[in-house]
Amino acid sequence: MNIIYSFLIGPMAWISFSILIIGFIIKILYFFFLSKNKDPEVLRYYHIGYAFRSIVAWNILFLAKSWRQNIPFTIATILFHISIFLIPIFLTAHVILIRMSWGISYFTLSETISDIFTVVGLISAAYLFIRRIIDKKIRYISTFQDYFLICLCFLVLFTGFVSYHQFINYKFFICTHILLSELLIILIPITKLSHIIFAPILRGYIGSEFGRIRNVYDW
Amino acid sequence: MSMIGKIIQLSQNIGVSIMESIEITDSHLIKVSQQISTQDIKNAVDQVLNKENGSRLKFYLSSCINCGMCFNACHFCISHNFDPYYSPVGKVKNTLKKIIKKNGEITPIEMAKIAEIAFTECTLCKRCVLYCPMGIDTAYLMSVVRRICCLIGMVPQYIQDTVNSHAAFFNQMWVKDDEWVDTLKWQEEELRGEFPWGEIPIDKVGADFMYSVIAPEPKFSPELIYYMSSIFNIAKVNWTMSSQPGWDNSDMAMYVRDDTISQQLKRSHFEAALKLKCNYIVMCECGHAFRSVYDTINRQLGWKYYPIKVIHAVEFLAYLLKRGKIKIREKIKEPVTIHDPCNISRGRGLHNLLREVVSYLCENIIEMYPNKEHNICCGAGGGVINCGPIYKEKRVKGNKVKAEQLKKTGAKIVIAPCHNCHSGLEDIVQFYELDMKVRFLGEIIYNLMEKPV
Repeated sequence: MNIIYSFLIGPMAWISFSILIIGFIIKILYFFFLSKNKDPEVLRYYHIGYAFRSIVAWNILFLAKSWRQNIPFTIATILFHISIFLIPIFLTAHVILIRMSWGISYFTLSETISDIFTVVGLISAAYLFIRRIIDKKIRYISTFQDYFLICLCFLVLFTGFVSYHQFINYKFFICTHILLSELLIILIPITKLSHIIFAPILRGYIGSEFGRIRNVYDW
Repeated sequence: MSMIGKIIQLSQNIGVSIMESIEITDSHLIKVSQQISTQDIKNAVDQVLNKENGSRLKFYLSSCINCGMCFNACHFCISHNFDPYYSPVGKVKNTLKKIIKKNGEITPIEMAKIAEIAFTECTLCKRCVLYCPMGIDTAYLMSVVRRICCLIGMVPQYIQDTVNSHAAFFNQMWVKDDEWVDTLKWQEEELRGEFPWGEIPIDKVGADFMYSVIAPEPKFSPELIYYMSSIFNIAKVNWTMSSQPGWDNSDMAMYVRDDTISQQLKRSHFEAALKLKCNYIVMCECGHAFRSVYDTINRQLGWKYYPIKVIHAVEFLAYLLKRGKIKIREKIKEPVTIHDPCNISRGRGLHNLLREVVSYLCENIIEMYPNKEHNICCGAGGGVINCGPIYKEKRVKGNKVKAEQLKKTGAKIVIAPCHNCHSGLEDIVQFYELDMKVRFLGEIIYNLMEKPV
């Protein structure tokens, strides 16, 4: 188990983060050159100001009409995204790992707050998953990827939570946690999770198109 | 347990039924499907998806997380009790994603169904763009599907006929050149009955404004040309109309995605204006022609914007009213509501100007909600109404939400400065038996303005 642990935390971490970064670089370059050759208006109409306006507007809670019309979903998705963003970066244990390898240390969340965020993340992930299964409309449009990715996020949070509190079989859970997290990181550039980068880029394009050509707000 | 129950209750829309029909209503599409092979479809798919389209198509498709927020956007979806089959994401699933999943190996009869979805169940109104957190332009994706259909000839017959007319006569309705000039002369004669000094100048070089109309005006309702020419005459602006093939600004080829024809059309339209050395092109009260100029075809022609400033009738009438060039005798006292055409409100932000114009004309304006850029489409745009009477029932039933909106206002007059919206709303008013009249701005202003004798 110790060998597996040191492999996961050492070489495997390097591999997964390299795939993440290289994958994103390739994808962004692909987007750029494809736009340049086939969709020149994407670059021609792109306007940083309008793009920024659109991204900010959509990140303000309940500003966009679309957010206001799906209140339960909006609350769940916002909480889910906040916890899935804060926990990996600011959890004490993760910061310690970074300090051990690179000697960098920064602000951490207190243990109670991280626990709260984890539980909130778990509940909202569960809601998003159950919504896909129960709601006939959402089930109609869901694909395997949608179910799988939300499950993976849930499991990463769950194994992390269990291993942190060391309820049972600490070593098994911490290894599973690291393995699943690395799987998730690898999957980011090649699945729909690439919306981490491409949601702002596409939102920015539509924002510029609406600001520049259509003279209306796009929210 | 009770909490989960609540969550389930919140997320579940009880009584939702999903439509899964594969019936095709159009016999023409079935006929076409008998004449083409799977290989033809595969070639067209390859041409459109791999050669013609680029980053937007690929990244829109790979970024959709199927969250279902676009359900609230589409009038077809809302009117059918949020049936996911009619939702923007559902339409993409049943068309483009199906094509990509099967790698282009679609049977002709499946393709006919796809064509029917793309042509008659989406009005390309772009309302879903405002409701998608990712900023995915479903209208663009549906127009890609239409492009595939166009390449294999799988286009509803009525709209194909208008495209053929565009190709042959550079106008939408098979109006011949002499018939067009004849109509203008006839309207001038009528005009002289009322204003003896009135005229409709044809091909006058160096005028400030060239007025361009769409072909249904001379074909079916020449009175609209009459109203606008009286306004031009009374406002005493220096204007003209073209007798050249570019006199018609409509562009149904844009909605069929017959790109070659639509590019020729727009070029001829601008050439007609350039030949007359006019400063502005004034468009009649039409939405899609305006869209083709500022948004769609200018891109295809490689222009960032357009060579001559184009102004929509709403902008022009606002200019005349604000400058006091036409004066209004009395305002309409009946309750009036405003329908925002997608192509000029969500498409160009003219909704506030439209309200300014209407405030000159009417006392009692009742707003429909949602309005302005969030307006609900009339259900006839995007070439849907041009697909012919066989789709009328589908179109009208798919826009129950608009009928409810109209009914709620209790207004007696709906102002819709767009030809497609006009016809679409008239069908809705008739089908749902609403006590309303649909009016153009030109008609209202003609009836209300001060006329020098």
